[in-house]
Amino acid sequence: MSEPATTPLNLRAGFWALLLFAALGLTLEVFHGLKLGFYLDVTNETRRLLLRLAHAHGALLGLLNVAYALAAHAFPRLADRMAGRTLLAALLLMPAGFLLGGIFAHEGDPGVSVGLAAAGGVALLVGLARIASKGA
Amino acid sequence: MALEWLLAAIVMALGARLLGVRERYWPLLIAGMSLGGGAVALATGSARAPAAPAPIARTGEEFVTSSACRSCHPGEYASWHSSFHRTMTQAARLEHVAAPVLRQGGRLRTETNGRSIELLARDGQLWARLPDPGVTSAAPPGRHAASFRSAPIRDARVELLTGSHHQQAFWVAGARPGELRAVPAVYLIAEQKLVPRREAFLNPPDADEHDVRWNSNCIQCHAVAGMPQHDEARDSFASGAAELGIACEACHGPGGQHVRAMQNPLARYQARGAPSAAPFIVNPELLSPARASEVCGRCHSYFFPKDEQDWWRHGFARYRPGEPLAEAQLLLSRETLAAPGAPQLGESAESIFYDDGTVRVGGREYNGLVRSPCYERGRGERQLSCLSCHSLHQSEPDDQLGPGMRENHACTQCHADHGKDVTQHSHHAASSSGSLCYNCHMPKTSYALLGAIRSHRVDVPSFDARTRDRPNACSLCHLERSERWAAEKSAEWYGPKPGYALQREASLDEADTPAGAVFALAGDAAVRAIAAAALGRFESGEPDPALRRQLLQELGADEYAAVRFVATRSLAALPPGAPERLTAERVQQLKSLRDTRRVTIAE
Repeated sequence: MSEPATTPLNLRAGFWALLLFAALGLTLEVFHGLKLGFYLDVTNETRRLLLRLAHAHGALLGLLNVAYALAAHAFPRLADRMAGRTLLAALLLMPAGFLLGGIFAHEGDPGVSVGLAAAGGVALLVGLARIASKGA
Repeated sequence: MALEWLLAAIVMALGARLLGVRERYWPLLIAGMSLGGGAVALATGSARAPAAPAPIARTGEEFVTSSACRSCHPGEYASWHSSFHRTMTQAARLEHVAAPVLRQGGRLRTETNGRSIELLARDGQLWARLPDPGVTSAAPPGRHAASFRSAPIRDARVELLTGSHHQQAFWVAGARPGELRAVPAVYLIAEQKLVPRREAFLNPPDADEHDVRWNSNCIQCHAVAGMPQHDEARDSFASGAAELGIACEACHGPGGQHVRAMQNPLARYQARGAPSAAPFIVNPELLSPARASEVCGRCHSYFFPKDEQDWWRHGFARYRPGEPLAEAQLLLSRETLAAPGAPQLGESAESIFYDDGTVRVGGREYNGLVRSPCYERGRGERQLSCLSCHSLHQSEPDDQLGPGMRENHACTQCHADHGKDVTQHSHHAASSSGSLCYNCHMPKTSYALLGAIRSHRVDVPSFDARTRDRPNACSLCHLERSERWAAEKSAEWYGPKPGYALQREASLDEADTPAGAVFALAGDAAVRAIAAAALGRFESGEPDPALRRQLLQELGADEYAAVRFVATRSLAALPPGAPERLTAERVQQLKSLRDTRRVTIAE
């Protein structure tokens, strides 16, 4: 079975995501270092939570995409076009949802974009289910 | 918000592309998103906030407590949580006790009326060892002191604590079912000392022990929607409150309906940045200055319930912020107390008010505010209100003054002309404390908690006969100068004022008597306490330590314990030296003119 076209994309996107969200992690540390109220004030507790979620999900989903691409390369029966696409969608939607939801947070509520994270979550579950079924 | 929608749409389109949604379906996707947005707009439109604060439910279990506010208003919750309002009443858990020695399992002891009062930690709880409050609180009026001296000593578990800033008071079960009585001792937080309760307040030396009941005193202000629930037939209490301490709903009204309405996320998104009030909750900042001040005045005033019978059951729990306060309570003044059928208070009117009607008790700032020209003559947004200077959520816990309000901005936001060249108006150097508006217009002529605090009757220093018993602002700094000197300076700078009288000085035939000596030796007990506090401050730039030491030593032997306490504290701030300035004859002359009215201030 030939490797699906999305696999190299998963690999590249995964590493780019790692770069991007590691950089976001560094940015958040700078926010701490500079004691920026935008990030640290009690009023912005929700924003802080969401930006941390964006950082964590972005980095972990980047790793997942890299792992998927490498696994598909090593075990071609795991490769699945739909799985590759949904993992990419999850990589885009989940951290973007948390990021935008955090940037546009208002008091105790995230911005409306946080809904993207839910869509990304569904995509992630679909992708994982596809891979799991291939591996079974 | 539009930017967020745009960014979200872009991300969604990219996601759709990744998922392999063909480009020809994109219009469908965009249409779907538009329809979704429209549905959101429609739904949020139905949750639109009313233009004015909506009516608040008057009955029912509508209070939800501060914990329900936290998730949506974390900043406001945090600012409230750090305030002394929150800890005004607390359950008597050891971690809430202000005395470190008690938290660590130790003991504190004091003595009053020949009886020992002890506080101790035992089994993780706070206990008081004292003359049995079940006996003393059952004594009829006038027999309390005798009962206190003869009652057996008993250990009573402390149920509630009041205060966490300057003092902490303790409450134990009394004789009647459900009632809580004050332990006759108070912990002074700065001094880390337990003192008899009667000495922690301004009381004549022969005054009886305070036998204060929480259910019918403190409950009305030191808790949210406190209800005494006194059963007259059984003479028992089933008191309750929505929350202990002064929490969100004390100022914003019950939050049940608001919380239910705002559990809908669409309603919350719609309410973002809305200029109008959120539904079913009161924002005092959106009320008129007079109504907003009444929210504070509900407690920060001398008042009496309009319907006393109802009050014994429901307290002021039916009052809703934003409603006319006068419907719930009568604001006390010299005039209302002199009227036929006036309520009888424990303190006399002349204890509470100066002769010109200015309240002189701390914590009753609303009485002062409503007598201020800036309130009486102010109109619209330019009417002075509590919120003109104070901010409950953008302030430090001490004084809760809004940003910039410790400086002249508090006044120049209206009196901009004085702000341009303050020296021209104040005749003091710009950096001098005499150029701070409130030092002249809000002098520390109120007594509270073993100290002096600012009068909230914002007015002009006066020297006329009606204000003779009230220390004037100039002299409270320039204690070494005579009141005549201050009056003449005032006349020179601001024009002569009619009615200037130097009754006490004229009778002494001494035009140069230092004002500090007049206040400290001839004033009544409250004025002496205020003078004792002033003598420990050094604001005029010309203090005479010898005179101050002499006066403070005189006050250190005052018949009122509270005056002695304040004087001793001020004396400690003075450098050592000889205490001579006035002759013994002069001191006696001034003392012979003393205002001997009985003063009781148990704020």
